[in-house]
Amino acid sequence: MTRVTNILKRIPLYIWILMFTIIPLLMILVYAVFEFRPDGVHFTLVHLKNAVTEPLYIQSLLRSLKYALISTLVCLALGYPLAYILSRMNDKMRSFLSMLLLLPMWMNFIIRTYAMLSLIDEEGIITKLLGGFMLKGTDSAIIIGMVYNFLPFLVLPIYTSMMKIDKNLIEAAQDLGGNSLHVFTGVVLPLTVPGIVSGITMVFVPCVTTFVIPQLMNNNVWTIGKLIEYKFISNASADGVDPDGGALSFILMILVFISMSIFNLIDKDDESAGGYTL
Amino acid sequence: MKDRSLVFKIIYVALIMIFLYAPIVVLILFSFNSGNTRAVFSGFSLVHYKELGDQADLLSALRNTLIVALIASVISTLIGTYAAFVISKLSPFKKSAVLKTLNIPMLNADIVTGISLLLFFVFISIPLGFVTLLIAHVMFNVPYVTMSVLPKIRQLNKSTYEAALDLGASPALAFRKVIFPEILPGVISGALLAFTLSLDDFIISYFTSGSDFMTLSVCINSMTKKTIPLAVNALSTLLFIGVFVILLIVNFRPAAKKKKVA
Repeated sequence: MTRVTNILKRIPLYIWILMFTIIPLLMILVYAVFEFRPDGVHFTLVHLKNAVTEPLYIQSLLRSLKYALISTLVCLALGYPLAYILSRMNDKMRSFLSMLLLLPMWMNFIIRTYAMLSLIDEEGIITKLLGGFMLKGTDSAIIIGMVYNFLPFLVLPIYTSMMKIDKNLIEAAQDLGGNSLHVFTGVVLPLTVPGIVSGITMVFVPCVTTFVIPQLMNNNVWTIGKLIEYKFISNASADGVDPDGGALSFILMILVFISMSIFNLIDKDDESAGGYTL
Repeated sequence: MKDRSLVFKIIYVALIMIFLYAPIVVLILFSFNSGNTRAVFSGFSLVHYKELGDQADLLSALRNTLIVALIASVISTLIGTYAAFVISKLSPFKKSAVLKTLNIPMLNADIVTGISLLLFFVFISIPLGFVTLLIAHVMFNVPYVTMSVLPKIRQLNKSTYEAALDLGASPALAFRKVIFPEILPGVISGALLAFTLSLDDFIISYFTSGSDFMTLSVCINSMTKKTIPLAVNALSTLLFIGVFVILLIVNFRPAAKKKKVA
């Protein structure tokens, strides 16, 4: 009897997940391989083929990956030292600075990106400082927009994993004669790999898929996000969905899932390896 | 030697903070501009704050955003808490499978979630608008609530609930008096998280709200096609200050209390 009621209690949850998570994701596949036309539904692989062969699509995808890779590396280069410095400060300073780091995220990200844009456009302060060289409309502008928006997302997980490091471990390494470089490469760096991996995931995936940042910072180039937005919203036809848009979304979804499982794999590997890499 | 590295650290942190705050400072500064441009500051004035009253689009978008965030956070808190209870009773294998599926919207790219819901709504022919937007927000909020309630359920002491039953409480009363107070902090932080995520969302709202029902982010995004009026700066400044004050209160109240006790 209780078994039956237990199962009954679960069913609404399963229906919820099925209805609003699984079926919508399957819809992407459906719209990638079916055309919904007034004369009926037609199966076709043309759009999937387009998505992986059309030069504009491939170039946009590669460009998005390039921007995401560069931005993630810049975030890592700027953010890791910041997390390290933060983690070694006293409590008061630390809580103040981590609040400062989080605070910008409370301002709407379009407004923030637009505010950054207004520093580097025709009349922006930075443009004046650079002697009239306008960053708006360049690749660098996109990178700046991405780093500006996502840097805190990378710093926080790394900072958290640094705070978890047992202070005794660091002291032990120092007692055993390790200089600060040894302590860093032997203790701190290996123990923060999980933080680095989750930080990278939190920056890389949004960077690949964003359409707002390229639209604002440099609207001359296509990225995969912009392309999908264009197919579904800006250029949406009244009678239905642009079928190439469905196929492109499907490719992007597969890409996101692949990159997430790669990051998952790295994360797991590291947990089993622990900190014994020295 | 030590001094020099300290100076270096301070400069490094300061430079990054300047990078993060320069746009915001300029945005706030220009909300007080008496002129109409973002380039030249012609003098201090509150004219753009007064203009806010005339920006009907902006104000209705703000109202929409608050309504959706409020309703979505309440519904997703109920569903998310229920989901946490169901999941906590599953066998380890099922638990991990259900959690992984439930968490997809948390890990997935927003644009993929947005498109998937858009296609789903198109497929079952629900017209895009308030209802679809609300469903979308509840959908992406639920896993965040579940993840913040689940640890509290795990920490529950089973014996206190059973003791309450032994002492003659009905299961409903025992739940209300024993379990509910224990999980409440998780429920509240889940609800707050859901509320802020809803307020802040742009991408999923953009794909699921249609053209008639605009949230603040969607409205501001449509304004970026031309030049954003400085009234938007004024509104952002007000919201930013509001959030800042709330954060200060939340962060420093417990410390103040402790001091009083001591």
